Amino acid sequence: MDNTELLNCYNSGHKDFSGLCLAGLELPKADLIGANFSKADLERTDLMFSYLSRVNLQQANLSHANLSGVNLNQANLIYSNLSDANLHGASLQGADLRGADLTLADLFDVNLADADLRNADLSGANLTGACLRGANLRQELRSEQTILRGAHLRQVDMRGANLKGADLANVDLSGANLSEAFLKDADLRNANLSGANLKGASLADAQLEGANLRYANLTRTRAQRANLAGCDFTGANLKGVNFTDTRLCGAQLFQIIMTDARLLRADLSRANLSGANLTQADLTNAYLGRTNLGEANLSGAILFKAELSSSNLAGATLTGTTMPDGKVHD
Amino acid sequence: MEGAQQSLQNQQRVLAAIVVTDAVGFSAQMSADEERALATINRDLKQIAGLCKVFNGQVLKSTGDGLLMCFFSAAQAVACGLNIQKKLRSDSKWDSFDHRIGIHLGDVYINNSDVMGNGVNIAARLESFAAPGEICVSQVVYDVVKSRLDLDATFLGPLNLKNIQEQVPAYQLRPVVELDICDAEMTRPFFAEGIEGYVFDSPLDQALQTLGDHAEHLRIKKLIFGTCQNLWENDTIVLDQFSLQHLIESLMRRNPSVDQCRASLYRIVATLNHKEIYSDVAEDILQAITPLYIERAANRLPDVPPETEDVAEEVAGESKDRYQHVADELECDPQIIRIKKVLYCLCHKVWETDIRKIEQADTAILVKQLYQLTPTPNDLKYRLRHLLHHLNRKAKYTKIVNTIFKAFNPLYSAQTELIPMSTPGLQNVSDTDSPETCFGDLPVGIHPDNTVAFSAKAVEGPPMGAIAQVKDRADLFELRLDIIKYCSPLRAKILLHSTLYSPFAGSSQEWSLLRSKTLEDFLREVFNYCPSFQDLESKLSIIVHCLEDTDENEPVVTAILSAIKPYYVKPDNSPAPVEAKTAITAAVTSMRPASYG
Repeated sequence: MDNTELLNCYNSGHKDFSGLCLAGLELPKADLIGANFSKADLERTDLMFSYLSRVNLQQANLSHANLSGVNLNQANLIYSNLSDANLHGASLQGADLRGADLTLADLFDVNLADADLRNADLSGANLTGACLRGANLRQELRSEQTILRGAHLRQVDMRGANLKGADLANVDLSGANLSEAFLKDADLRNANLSGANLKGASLADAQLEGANLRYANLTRTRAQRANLAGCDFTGANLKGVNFTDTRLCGAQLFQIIMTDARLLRADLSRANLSGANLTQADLTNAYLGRTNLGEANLSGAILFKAELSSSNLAGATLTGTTMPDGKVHD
Repeated sequence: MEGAQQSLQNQQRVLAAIVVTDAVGFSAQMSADEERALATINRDLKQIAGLCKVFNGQVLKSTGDGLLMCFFSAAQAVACGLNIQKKLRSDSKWDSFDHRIGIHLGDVYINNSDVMGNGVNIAARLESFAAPGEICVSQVVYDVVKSRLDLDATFLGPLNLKNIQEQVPAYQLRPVVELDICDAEMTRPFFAEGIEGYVFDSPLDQALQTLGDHAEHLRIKKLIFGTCQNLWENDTIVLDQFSLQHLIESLMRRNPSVDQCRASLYRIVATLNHKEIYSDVAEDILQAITPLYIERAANRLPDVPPETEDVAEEVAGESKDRYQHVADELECDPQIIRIKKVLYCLCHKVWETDIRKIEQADTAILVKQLYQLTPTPNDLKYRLRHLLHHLNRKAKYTKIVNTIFKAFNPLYSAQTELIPMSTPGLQNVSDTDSPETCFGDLPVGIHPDNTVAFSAKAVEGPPMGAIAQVKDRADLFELRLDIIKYCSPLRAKILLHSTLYSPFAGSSQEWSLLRSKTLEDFLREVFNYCPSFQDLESKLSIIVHCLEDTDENEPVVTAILSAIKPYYVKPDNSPAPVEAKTAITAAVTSMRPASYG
């Protein structure tokens, strides 16, 4: 079937192309809305700027296809092969990409708002500037995980996205918007989150060891039980953050603003909190072994039952601080 | 402001639609009857300048028997040209000259005292090709506007213009005159003046008739009702209780200009299910009521000097409440919008950039509120200076603040015991108009009290004008989403790329640039490149015609523009003629971003 045959066929009302071999066709700007291409072979097809909303591409082979600027809104792409496909600036709002293979795909500036990406493989994909607002990347089973390992996610918009248990180790999420995102159990080890917005996000039980959180916004972020050991928080905003039961050992928190933070039972050993503002912070039962709290402002903070014996408190402000023995310092 | 002044020193380049007008036979008339010629040309030019303002244009200079005007939109330039011809022709109550108009779209240079460039020369040459009462536009202009305006055009072919090397293809445009008016015009000289009323419907009657007879008259009513009441009504019984005339009047009261009216209508249209139908309806409404706006603007031209009105009111309004009196005085000032902005800000503690809110606020009530807040002239002075300190256009607002201070003076002088409290600066308020008058004694910003109330935030933050309504450009995630929700992100990028660099032709170099930057990066560049929304609007609407797939790209332009608008400060809607050049330089773009090879 060649280009014109296919279009004539579609225009005459036959919209079923399932299982056909259509590899290498050139159909830029084609209108193929609602067509059925399930299990079709569309390898290296040129569909630039085509209208493909609501098409069925279940299990289709689209590897190396040119899909830049296409409209694939509400399309069915379940288990499709999009490896190495070019989706630059495509619109995939509400598309179903469950289990799709998107390895090394170019998803630069793509719109994946409300898309379903559960169990999809996005490893090595370029998602720079993409919008994944409200997208679902949730891990269903231990064996079925959305993989974003090594993906480029700079400036990505993931507001409110469900990334529970997602594999985001080593990803570049600098400048990303992850506010209100659900990142429980996510693997963010050594991820670059510099300048990212994590306002109100949930990072409970997440792994963030060695992550770069410089200048990130973590206002009211919930990160109970998360592992934040060795994280760099320089210049970050941690107002009202919930770090209950977290591991923060060796974290860089120099001159950080952590007013009203909840650090109950947190492990802050060897962390650098010198010059930090911990006004009204709750450090009940926290472990502060060899923590540097020099010049820190702890006025109104609660250090009840905290382990302070080996920490450095030189020059710290302790007005109204509740000390480990329960007495209020004046 | 100071930066803009400085950049004025150097020549600035700006893409604009240039309109040149010229009165036919002015010199001949001058030699025959100088006084009459001057009176006629003055009235004509005043009307032209008035229409120019209606269409958001700026008068750059007068040539004695014509004007040089500049628009940031080609469509508005042509619409203005057509309306000028229509208005001057239909106004046969007074005699007026026939005018030729030339329009060209091109780069012009603006410096301190003048505007020049090939664009201006071409517009002037085209003008000489226009027939009296008609318009000659270059092909560029025609291409940009043909899809938007209903034109009666004749192709003149490529013209050889004097001192212009290349041939310029041009079109002759005639104002579309409705048949009945045509007849009326031909017959008018044979009738006595009194019959005119019967032959000529007032613009309001015409609009009522057009809209009333319209196939979609119910939808028209619903839309106007919805726009005025901010509430959708489908019940015809309710709608019947409101006459169309009443609705149109209230629509026009709420929206002082056609553009604002358009914006209000479309705000409602955007919320509706049948968007396409209703945008057509909105366009029909606008078309029908545009003459009303023109009429209104023309009537506002000071045929009667404001002073006389003022005196008359003073005599009549002896018993009027004194706040109203102050308000009336302020209302006479051409800068009333700015004055009200200042009053509004002092009363409500926000710098309101929404012109409609300002327009709707009752001046007398604002005066009363402010007076109650500031029981002594010193209080008022303190507050005014306080505000002035935080405004961007200090020089401009110093005059405004002085006007307010002066106008408020009678309120305070009524309370005799307060007079001794006035400072030396205050006493000579009535003597001179100098901006320094009120505040000469204490330079702005040095007053010790000034520093108290303002936190560090206010000092380092954006100017007050930006605080209230303009969205924060630091976070563009929302803007990105708003754009790509309705169009292909790639198309948006291509359009912005074309606007910033050159029309996208699909070369590998261009593709690699497109891949190296995100949509957000492009948007940030656009903010630097286009200092005002109007600037971006005109650039985008021009560039869309230079690309393939115009039909596909036009919705993208709409999506970008409507999404980006809240990120721009709304311009002041009351530019005085003297400001024309300053306003342009403010809108003058910085040079294009460093090109990529």
